[in-house]
Amino acid sequence: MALLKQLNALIWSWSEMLGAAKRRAALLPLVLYGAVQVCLLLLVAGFAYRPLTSFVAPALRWRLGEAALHYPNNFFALRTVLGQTDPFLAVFLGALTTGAAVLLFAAHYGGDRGRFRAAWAASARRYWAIVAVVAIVVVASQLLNAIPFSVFGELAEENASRFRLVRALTIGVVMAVQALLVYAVPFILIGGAGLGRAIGRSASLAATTPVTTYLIVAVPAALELIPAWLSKKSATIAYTFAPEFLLVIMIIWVVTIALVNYATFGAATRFFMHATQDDAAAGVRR
Amino acid sequence: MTRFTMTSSRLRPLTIVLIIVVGIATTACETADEIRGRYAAEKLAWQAAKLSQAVGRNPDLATDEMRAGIAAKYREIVSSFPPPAGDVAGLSTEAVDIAFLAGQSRLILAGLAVKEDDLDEAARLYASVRDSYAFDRTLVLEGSFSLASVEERKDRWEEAVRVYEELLDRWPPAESSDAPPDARILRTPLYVAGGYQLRGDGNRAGAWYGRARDYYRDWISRWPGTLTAERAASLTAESFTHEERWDDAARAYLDFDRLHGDPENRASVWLGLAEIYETRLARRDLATQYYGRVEEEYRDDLSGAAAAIALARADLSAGRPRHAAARLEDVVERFGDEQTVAATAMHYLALAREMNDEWDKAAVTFYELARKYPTTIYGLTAHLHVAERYGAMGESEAAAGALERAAEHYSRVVRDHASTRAELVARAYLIDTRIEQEAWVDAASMLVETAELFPDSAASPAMLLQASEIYGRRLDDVARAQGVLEALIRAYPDGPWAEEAGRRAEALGR
Repeated sequence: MALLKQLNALIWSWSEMLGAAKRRAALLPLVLYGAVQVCLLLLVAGFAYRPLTSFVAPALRWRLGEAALHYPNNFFALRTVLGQTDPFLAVFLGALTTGAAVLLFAAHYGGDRGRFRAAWAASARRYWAIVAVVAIVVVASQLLNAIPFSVFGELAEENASRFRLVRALTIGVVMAVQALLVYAVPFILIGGAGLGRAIGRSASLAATTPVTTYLIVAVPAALELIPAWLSKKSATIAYTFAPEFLLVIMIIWVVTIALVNYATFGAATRFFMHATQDDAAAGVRR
Repeated sequence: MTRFTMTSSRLRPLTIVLIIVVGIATTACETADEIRGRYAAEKLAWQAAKLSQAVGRNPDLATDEMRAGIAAKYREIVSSFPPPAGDVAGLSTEAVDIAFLAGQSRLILAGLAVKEDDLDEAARLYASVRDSYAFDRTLVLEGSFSLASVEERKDRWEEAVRVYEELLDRWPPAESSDAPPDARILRTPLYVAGGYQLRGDGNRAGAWYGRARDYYRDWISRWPGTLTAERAASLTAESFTHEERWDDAARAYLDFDRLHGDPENRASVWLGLAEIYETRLARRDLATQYYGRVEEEYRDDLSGAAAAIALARADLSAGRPRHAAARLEDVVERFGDEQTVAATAMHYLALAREMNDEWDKAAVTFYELARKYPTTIYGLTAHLHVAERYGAMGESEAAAGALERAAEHYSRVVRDHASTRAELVARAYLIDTRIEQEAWVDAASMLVETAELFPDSAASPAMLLQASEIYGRRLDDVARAQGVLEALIRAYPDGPWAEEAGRRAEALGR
């Protein structure tokens, strides 16, 4: 697809996604996912309140050691807790919510008023296929993100700016992997494809529309830079204001993740539908 | 019967499981309560510390409410978490943490009470830590030493001594024979002896010096070959120097050298011995021997340089300036970056050259000393020495020139080292120079200016008195002299300075 056409398709997908947001389409699955994350954060932040202590404290001690049970360490541990649990949440719960969101977006773009329960049930029917796709994305992202620290660890001390460049490049590669698989869930749920075929077709669609697909994934992801920057300042924030502010920052992060997912899957589903219709038309024409 | 047996056999495993579940739940609840309690205490302590930091950072903006808030937080911890009853061996980690935090809060509250001059409350809190937190050595020691210090502030020296005595009886100088000793505990008997000496009670001071040595002997025999034994042996020698029993002190240092001497500590022991032999026992031969050993074996250390300077001083006293100069030139060359050592060596080098009838070379060395190390005591006095020497040689013009160079040097130090201790010292020398030059106007205005710049300096009231005298006697400016005396009375209204100023003002008025 020509560059101009790709950019045109990208802008159109985003405008459609914003239209869906205006009508609050497909919000519920992502709100549900965010709510689970917020609950997790609240459990850690409020572990010293009855009756949470009895079951949250042992879990915290198990994962992060005795230090996490002291004030204000539990607030500093929020990011670690989210980091440790999110891969599992993303795979096992995120698979369902992503699937439901894709179906609800598709219904909205098709002119229907999608029903959450039906979307959830349809998503659950292809649960393991979606789990596999999300697991591949999560594992690949985790491995790639670990490369700068394990391979170029010494560079961080020797040349900080070069290390930052390596990290930026790695994030770019992670985005590319995510872009290759971004249409896999729509192919499974809307296109009715099997796991292997969905992955193959998603990669093929991404490869033929690299600019649109990459920007659909990368531009919303840039939003995460804001809470990430705030989180880096956590010590300053805790000492200047109060450690409890760290909970607010983590909630902002969760909301940002929800927005990023909404924008990515909203635009990806729209573009997927557009591209596969074009494909069909092309097939007809052939 | 059969039914009963059946029921009981069915119930038995269930009962056991139930008991285990209830047991675990109860234990979990107890631990959960303690975790919650510790968390709450830590939160209060964090908030109090944060408030305290805020007050410390901006004391002018701090309100009374903020200050009261700090104490209130610590008071809440203290009231919510009473001291543990009895032994803490059976307590959970959380409970011990809570007790430690509560003990620390008591210490901080006591510190706040000291700041408020509420010494009785402070003593009560410190005593409570000492008596109720025996499970933690650091808390008890802090409580005990602080309690003794408060008793001293309350002028209750005997009470303080009782606290120290109890501390020495209850707590060994280190946690174990392998651990490093607590210098405060080891020094306590010497401190008490010194306290009696200061109060003019020679008998008790002597008794405590004896007791200190018994204490050190005891720990040397209990933990031989340890760091505690080494420090105790060193303090034994120090106790003799406090009592000015120089023969015994030398013997104790020799014992120390024999039993605990190693390359790390030997230089200071030998220097100490040499000084005792040189200045107290008039055994110059032994002093020279020890200085020589330090100079030879610690050539590249500061102690080696100090020994070389001491030997050079001995050469100068014995009329051997050439020998002294050779040693000192070597020290200056090798330790040029060590300000104090290099300045001292250069000062004696200049004196050696002066003694060797090389006055021009000596003068150059004095000027170089002032230029290279301007804020050291020898650097500051170098120009004045040159001026004095020219004066003694009857070369009044050269002496006046040297005095002017001295004044320039002091002005430069005042300018380049503003708001430091060096500024105050340089100002004092500049004033002396102006008086020497009979530049009375400059001297008087400098005195007033310096006293105003350093109002907390002990020398400032005397400077104002001297300024008023110069205005009155040298410059015949009685009004100015009166003005300075009035300023002195306003600045230091209580005490002998104001009385003296009042008497002088009255005399000027007559």
